[in-house]
Amino acid sequence: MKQKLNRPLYFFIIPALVLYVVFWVAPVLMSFYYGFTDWSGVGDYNFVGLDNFKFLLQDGTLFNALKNTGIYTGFTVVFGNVLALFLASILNKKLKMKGVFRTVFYIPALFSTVVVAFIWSYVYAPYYGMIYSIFDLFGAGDAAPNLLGSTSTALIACAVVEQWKNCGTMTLIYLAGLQNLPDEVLESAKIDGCKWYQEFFKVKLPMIANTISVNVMLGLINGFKSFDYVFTLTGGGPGDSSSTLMHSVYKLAFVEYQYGTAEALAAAAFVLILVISCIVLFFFKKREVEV
Amino acid sequence: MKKPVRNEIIISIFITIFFIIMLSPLLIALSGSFRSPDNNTSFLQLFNQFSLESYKEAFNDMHYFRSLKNSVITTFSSVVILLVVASLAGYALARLKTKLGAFLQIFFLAGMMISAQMSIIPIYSIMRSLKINNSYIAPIVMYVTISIPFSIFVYTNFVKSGVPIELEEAARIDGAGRMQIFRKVVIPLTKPVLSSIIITQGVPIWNDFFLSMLFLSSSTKKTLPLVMLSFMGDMQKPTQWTMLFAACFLSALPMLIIYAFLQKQFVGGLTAGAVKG
Repeated sequence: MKQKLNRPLYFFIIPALVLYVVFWVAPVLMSFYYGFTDWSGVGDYNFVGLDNFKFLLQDGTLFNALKNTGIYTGFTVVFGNVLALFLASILNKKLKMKGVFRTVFYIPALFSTVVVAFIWSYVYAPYYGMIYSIFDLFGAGDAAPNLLGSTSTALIACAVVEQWKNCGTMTLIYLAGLQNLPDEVLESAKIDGCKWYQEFFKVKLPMIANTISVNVMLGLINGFKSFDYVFTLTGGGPGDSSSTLMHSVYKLAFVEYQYGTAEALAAAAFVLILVISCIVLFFFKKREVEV
Repeated sequence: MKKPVRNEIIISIFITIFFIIMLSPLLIALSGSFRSPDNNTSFLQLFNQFSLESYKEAFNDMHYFRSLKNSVITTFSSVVILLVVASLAGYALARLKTKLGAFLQIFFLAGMMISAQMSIIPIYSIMRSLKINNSYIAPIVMYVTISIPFSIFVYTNFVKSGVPIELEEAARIDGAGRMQIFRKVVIPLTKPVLSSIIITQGVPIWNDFFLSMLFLSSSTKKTLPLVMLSFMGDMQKPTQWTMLFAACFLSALPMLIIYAFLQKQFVGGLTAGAVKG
């Protein structure tokens, strides 16, 4: 009886599974295969074994892209979550303006990445941009930094833009998590004489561990896949100083026509993302507390 | 009694300052968009002119209604197909207690680690062999596909924790089949997570430029973000900025209007999947 009833369930999965396998999994596997060839994107190719990986290691592309992605992700995940949690704790107080704050907070998330890139290109632009204009107001226009044009700041400048767009979303998710906490637990913590920091770190944080792990996981995955702002704001430059993994893959494949090398890099990135995600997930699963 | 009030004022002032800093780029862009292109004063002088000239120019250059229509077609179709496909699979995975079911859950979730940049050429050649590489169908198929992992994940979790299996069993005793149970019992109970999928996946689909850039190369099929992307070259000319700002707000306008009317659903939808999960 049960078997008969459950059989239709497999049919329910089929449409999603077909789309997912044909247009997502298969192309990636095909790509990884090209990682072992010298294909340029068109025409014939030869099987070259691990040469692409060797090239990526010696050339420094792999290390540079990994380093940049690491910095980008680290910045958005650590700074982003701390800031969002801080803002959410403030907004969680009983404020008259709470509704307004919550509404305004989400506005940057509504703009598309291209539009955000335009607006921030203006902010960062030398000689007429917002940062320059503000410096100029104080008569120090010459001292205004060209954040996108300098190898030491371009990457972080892109990460700041990503952060700016996502900050509201993350804060709202934390706010919902904090509002879900049962009042009895918080009250009994107060009665037991909990200081505010004890309440925060020992009571609230463990109880919203689930929310934290969702935010951190999404942040990590977004960071590893970061492409849009680097593509639109700096094009990976100056030099390769802001080229993330996905941007390097894109550039190798479509600017330098080294599709094989690009896919070797993509395969290495995928394995790495998978391993790190599993470690993080395991870390949080161990610390989760049932609410 | 006095202290909490003072605290509230301090906190409100702090957050207001934070907001002003955070939103200042948007404010400057908004004020800039209402200038005529020949206004040479610094953009920091907010709202020193009110002219719709830049908007008129942007409106024409963007072929606004055509691009809007293209965006609506791709986003709307993608989200509708996604809702059907992901809820069916998500429900099935929540109720299948077999090893295959458990494997498929992880298999779908792993898709979140993949990025379209990794496999553009194979994706493109598959689309070309299906002869849909220059039509709305290709980006729609891709938008549905890339949204499947997360959507199934939140839907499965929501069904597990939010749909009592007793209800389904009661319906089964009344003689309902799986499809009927799904339509009459499960769907109504999972409305919050469906709206969550619409918000968390629909907004990025509306805003995406990468996949539509690959497939919608003919100018009549361009979506709003794609049209914006084609303006990228104009950024070097400072005199173009009033028009670019106007274009920015024209392209964000539909989303802002929807948000103005459906704020509650946005905030609720954003958090339903993430917090409950």
